Amino acid sequence: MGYTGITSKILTQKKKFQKLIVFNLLEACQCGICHEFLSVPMMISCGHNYCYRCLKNWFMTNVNKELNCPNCRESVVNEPCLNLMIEQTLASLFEVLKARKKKMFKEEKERADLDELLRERFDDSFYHKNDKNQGTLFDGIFKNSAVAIADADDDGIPRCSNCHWELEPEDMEDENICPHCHARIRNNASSLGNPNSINLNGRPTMMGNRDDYSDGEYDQIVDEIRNYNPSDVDSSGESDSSESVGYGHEDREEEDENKEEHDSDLDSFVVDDDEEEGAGDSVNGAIHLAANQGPVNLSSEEDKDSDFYEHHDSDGFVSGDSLGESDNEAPVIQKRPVILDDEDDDDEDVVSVNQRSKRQRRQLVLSDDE
Amino acid sequence: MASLPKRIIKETERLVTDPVPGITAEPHDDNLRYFQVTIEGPAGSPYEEGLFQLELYLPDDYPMEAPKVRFLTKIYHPNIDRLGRICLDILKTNWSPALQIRTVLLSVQALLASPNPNDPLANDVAEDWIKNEQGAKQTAREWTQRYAKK
Repeated sequence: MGYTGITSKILTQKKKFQKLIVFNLLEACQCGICHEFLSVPMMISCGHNYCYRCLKNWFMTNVNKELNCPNCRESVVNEPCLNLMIEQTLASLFEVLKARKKKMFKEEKERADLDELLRERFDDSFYHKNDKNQGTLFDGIFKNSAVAIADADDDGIPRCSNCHWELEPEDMEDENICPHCHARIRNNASSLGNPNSINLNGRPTMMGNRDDYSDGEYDQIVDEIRNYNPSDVDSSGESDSSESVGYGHEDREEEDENKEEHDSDLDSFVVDDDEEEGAGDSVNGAIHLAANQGPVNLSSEEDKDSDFYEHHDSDGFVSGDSLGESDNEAPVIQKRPVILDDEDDDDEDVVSVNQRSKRQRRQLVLSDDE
Repeated sequence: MASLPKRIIKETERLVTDPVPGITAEPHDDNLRYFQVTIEGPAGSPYEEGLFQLELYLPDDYPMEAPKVRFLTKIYHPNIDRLGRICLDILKTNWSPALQIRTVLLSVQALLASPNPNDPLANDVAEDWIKNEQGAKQTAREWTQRYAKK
């Protein structure tokens, strides 16, 4: 494997310096709650990561409090999402440990500890997958709660996003719940200095169900959200491009039905294979690709299908070399969702182009919504 | 007793191998969730030269729930009452599972260095502190000499 630039510099440094780097990287992969290696790392919008199980436990204690990040205390308005990069990095790390178990762990006790840790990590990933399938991620807190929103046109009064009741600071002292609809308020109403203090990542968000809105209003809002394009750069005018963003909310119900199809993106991280190098490479690939995230143009997905098969071997791994080659090509961006693909897909020899692109669209939704 | 969570074992180990200056914490032999704690009074405060005994207990839900901390040594402080209970936000509403034994004890030590009479637990002490700060600090020094002598 050819290393260049900073990577090659680091790899030719003294052992001591390399150790320091490894130590820092390993420290960064620890959960601030359980102090273990992150297991199903979930990222909050502030950027801090915790194990899915730890974060869920934290959200579920103090039921009537606002949700906040254990580390920086920023309000958790949006549902945390899976941090694929850390997940894959640690998956390949544990693959190495597993493969070198006999050499690295001389004592029986150490091996037993490693086995237990691996078992726990497997359980955690199953636990997360199960919650996701059931549609009960984080015990459904993000579906069943509301956010305090202050609208500048409304004198900046904080209101419940669910029922629009005014949230008076004195009502919120003991319990962070809406006095009217009793929804748990995820952020802190009294700290709403201005409407921008809720971080919705610049994207319009929709709370509640169709029933909460008057006739036509819901559809109108959904339309607005759907047509919203944060970059607004993609002006190629394809009708599909507007659909590629903001899918999530309307498709939610449909998504539940299709969960089984695409829930298993975790499967692909459980590397059951000796190809450590391949796994490592796909991680690098993911880093590279993540940096290139942009509006994904689904309409051109079809062209890339042939690529997909070229670059994937029968086990569903992205071969390191082919990825490296294609790194410089712009179309790599389009392949981002493909890497998340579950292994099942590769078993299907004949997949019609239409089905394929449809499936990938759903996957996009998932990775967005998670 | 249910097995001890790994996090508690790790924290305990680190408290021994990498202790916080001016603070000791040792788990009880019979109950590894119960710690005997000593905190040195911060230099420059009325508690200087004092060594304060505390007890710290990690509840079953720790780290989702804050540790219970209490002064065993008598202390004259607006945020600590006669029973040794401490008024500190991170031990109550502002607890976070990212905090740990060492950070909690550091916060308690910081509370000794900067009492907050505007959010009192011991009302009489706080009143004294606001009305006559020099006198209150003198009393705190005397109590330190009397009860917390090393």
